Amino acid sequence: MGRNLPKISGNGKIASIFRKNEAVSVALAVFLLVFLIVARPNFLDRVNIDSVQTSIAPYGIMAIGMMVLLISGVFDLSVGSTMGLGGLVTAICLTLGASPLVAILAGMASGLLIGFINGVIVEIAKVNALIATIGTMYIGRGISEIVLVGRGYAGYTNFPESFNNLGRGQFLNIYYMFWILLILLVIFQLVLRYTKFGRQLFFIGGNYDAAEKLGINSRRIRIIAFTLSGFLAAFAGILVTSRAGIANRYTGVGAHMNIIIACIIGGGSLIGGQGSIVGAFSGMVFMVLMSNAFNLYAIPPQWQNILVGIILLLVITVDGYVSLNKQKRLGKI
Amino acid sequence: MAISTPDTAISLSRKRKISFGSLTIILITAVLFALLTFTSETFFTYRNIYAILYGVSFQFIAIIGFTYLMIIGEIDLSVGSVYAFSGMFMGYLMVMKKVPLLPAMGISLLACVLMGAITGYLIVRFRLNSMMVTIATMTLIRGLASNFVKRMYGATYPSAMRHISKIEVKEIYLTIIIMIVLVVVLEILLKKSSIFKRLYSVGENRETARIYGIKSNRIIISLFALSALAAGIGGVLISSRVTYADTAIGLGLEFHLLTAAVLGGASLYGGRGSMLGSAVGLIFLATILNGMVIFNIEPLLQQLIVGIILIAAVFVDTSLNKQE
Repeated sequence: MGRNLPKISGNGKIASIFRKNEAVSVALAVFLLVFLIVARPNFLDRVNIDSVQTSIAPYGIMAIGMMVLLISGVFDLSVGSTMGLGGLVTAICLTLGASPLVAILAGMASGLLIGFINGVIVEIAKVNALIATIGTMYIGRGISEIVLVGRGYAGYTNFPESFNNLGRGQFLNIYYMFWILLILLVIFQLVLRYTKFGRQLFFIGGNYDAAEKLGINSRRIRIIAFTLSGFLAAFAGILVTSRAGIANRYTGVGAHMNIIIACIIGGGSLIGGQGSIVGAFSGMVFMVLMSNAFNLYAIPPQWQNILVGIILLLVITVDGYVSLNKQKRLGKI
Repeated sequence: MAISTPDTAISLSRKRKISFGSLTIILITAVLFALLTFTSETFFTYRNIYAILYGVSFQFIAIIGFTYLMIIGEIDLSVGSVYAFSGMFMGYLMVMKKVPLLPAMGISLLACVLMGAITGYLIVRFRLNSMMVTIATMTLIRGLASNFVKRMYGATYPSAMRHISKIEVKEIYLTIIIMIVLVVVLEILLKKSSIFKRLYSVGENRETARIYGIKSNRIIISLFALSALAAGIGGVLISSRVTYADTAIGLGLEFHLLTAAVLGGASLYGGRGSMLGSAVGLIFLATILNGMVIFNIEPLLQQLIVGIILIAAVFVDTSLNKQE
C-alpha cells in the first residue's frame, strides 16, 4: 500500500494496523481541539495558545525520540533527567561566559553522550532497557544535584537575551520551537517511511532474532536510536530553559511517563514493532490539550490522571483484543 | 499428579545458572555496614540500625507481591500508587465519613485487591504487556489517591489510625517484627514448598509450565491481587506513620522496589528472585541514604550511586550467565 515496509508484512496489513493505531490519538486530539475552540473562547487567547505551543513543542520533540525507540522494541526512562541535564549544561556554559551557540552545542553534546551510553549499556552490555535507563535516570538526576549544590531552588538564571530569544521568539506568530518540532516531525516521518534505517527499526522491533539472522546490525541501529532520543531530550531541555530563563532541578521530572503514555496512546507499544511519528505527535497534542482543558475548566488536576489512566487502559485493552482476535483468525493461537 | 510434575518441569528447564542472587547483595550490604561502622561512630548504634529497619519495614511489605510477580516474569508499576491510595482512602473514610478503624481498613484493602485482580485479569484475558497496563493503572490510581488528598484539606488522621504503625511488642515496633517473620517464612516457602516453586517454572517458561498442568493464568491474577494487597497494607502503615495525606507518598516507589528486587537477584525475564534478596536490597538502599546523611553528603547524590550500582550489578550478572 505504498509503504516500504519489510517483506514480512507482505500485503500491507501491518501498514493498515499502523493507521488504525494512530487514528485513535488523532481523533482524540482533533476532537479535543475542536471542542476547546468551540466551547471555550478563551482557549484561543494569546496567553493560552502560547502556553499550549510551548508545552507541545519540547515534549513532542522528546516523543519523537521515544517513538523511534519504541518502534525498535526498547524505551528510555532517562529522557526526563536528560532533559534537565541538557538545560543545565547549557545554563552552566552560559554562566561561565560561553557564547549561546557554544552553550547550546555543549547541552546537545551532553544529550548525545547520555543517549549513546544508554545504547551501549543496553546493546553491548546487554542490560535490560528498563533497568539500564532507570539507572541512567538516577545517575542523571544525581549529576544534576551535584551541579546544583549551593544554588538554591532557582538554580541558574540570567541568561543572555540572544539565548532566551530561542525559546521566546516567534515567526508568523508561532514559536520557533514549534516550527522546529514541525520540521523534525516531517524529517522523521520521511526517515521512518523511506530510509533503510526506518524500515530496519520496525523490523528489529517486530522480531529481533529474525532481524539479526537477516544480517541487520540491530545493535548499531538501536544505539543510534538511543543516541537520538538522548539528543532530542537534551535539545528539548535547552528549549525549555531558554523559554523559562531558568535551569533547575525540576525540569523534566516525571516527563518520561508522560511521554511514554503519549506514545502508547499514539499507537506505540512497549513490545515493539509498531508506532508512527504522527501517533507520537497526536498523542502528545492530546495530552497537552487535555491538561489545558482541565485548566480552562478549573477542574482539579487529579481528575486528569484518572481520565488519562482510563483512556490508556482502554487503548491498550482494545489493541490487545484486536490483535488477539487477529492472531486467532490466523490460527496462531 | 499435577503437584509432582512441576518439579520435573523445573529440573528440565532450569539450566545451571550462577545464582548471583541474594548472597551477593548480602555480601555487598555487609561490606557497606562494615565500612560505615569503621568510619562513623553514630552508624552502628542500636538506635540508628533500628531506625533503618523501621523505615524499610513499610517498603518491605509492599515488595512481597512485587517480588513474586518478578519471579513469574511480570511487573507491577502501580505499587507506588496503590501504596499511596490505600492509606489515603482509609484515612478519607475515617476522617470524612467517620467510618471506624477496622471497616475503613477492610474497605480500603478490599478496593486494592479488587484493582489488582482486575489488572491481572486484563493482562491474562487479552494477553497484554503488564508494564503497559500497570503504567495505565499507576496513573489512574494516583489520580484517585490525589482526589482524597484534596478532599481532606491536610487533615490529620484520627489517633486510632496513627497508632497502628506505633504498635510495639517488647519495645520493638510490630512492623519490624512482621518484616523479619515474613522474610524467614516466605523465603523458606519459596525455596522448599512445591507450590511456590511453581512460580519459578511459570517465570522460566510459561508454555512448559502450562503443559505440566500449572494454571499460570490463575497464578498471575492472584499474584497481581496479592501485589496490590501487599502494597495496600504497606500503604496503610506508612500513612499511619506520616499521619496525613501527603502527595509525596509512594512517588517513584515502583522504581525503588524494582531496584531493590533486582539487586536482590530478581530478573525482569522472570524465573529468579528471592524474598530475602529483596529485603536486603531495600536495607542496602536505605543504608546508603543513611550513610550519606551521617557524612552530611547531599542525600540526593544517593541516586547517582544507586544508578551506577544497579547497572553494574545487572551487567556483571548478565555477562556471567552469558558465558555459559
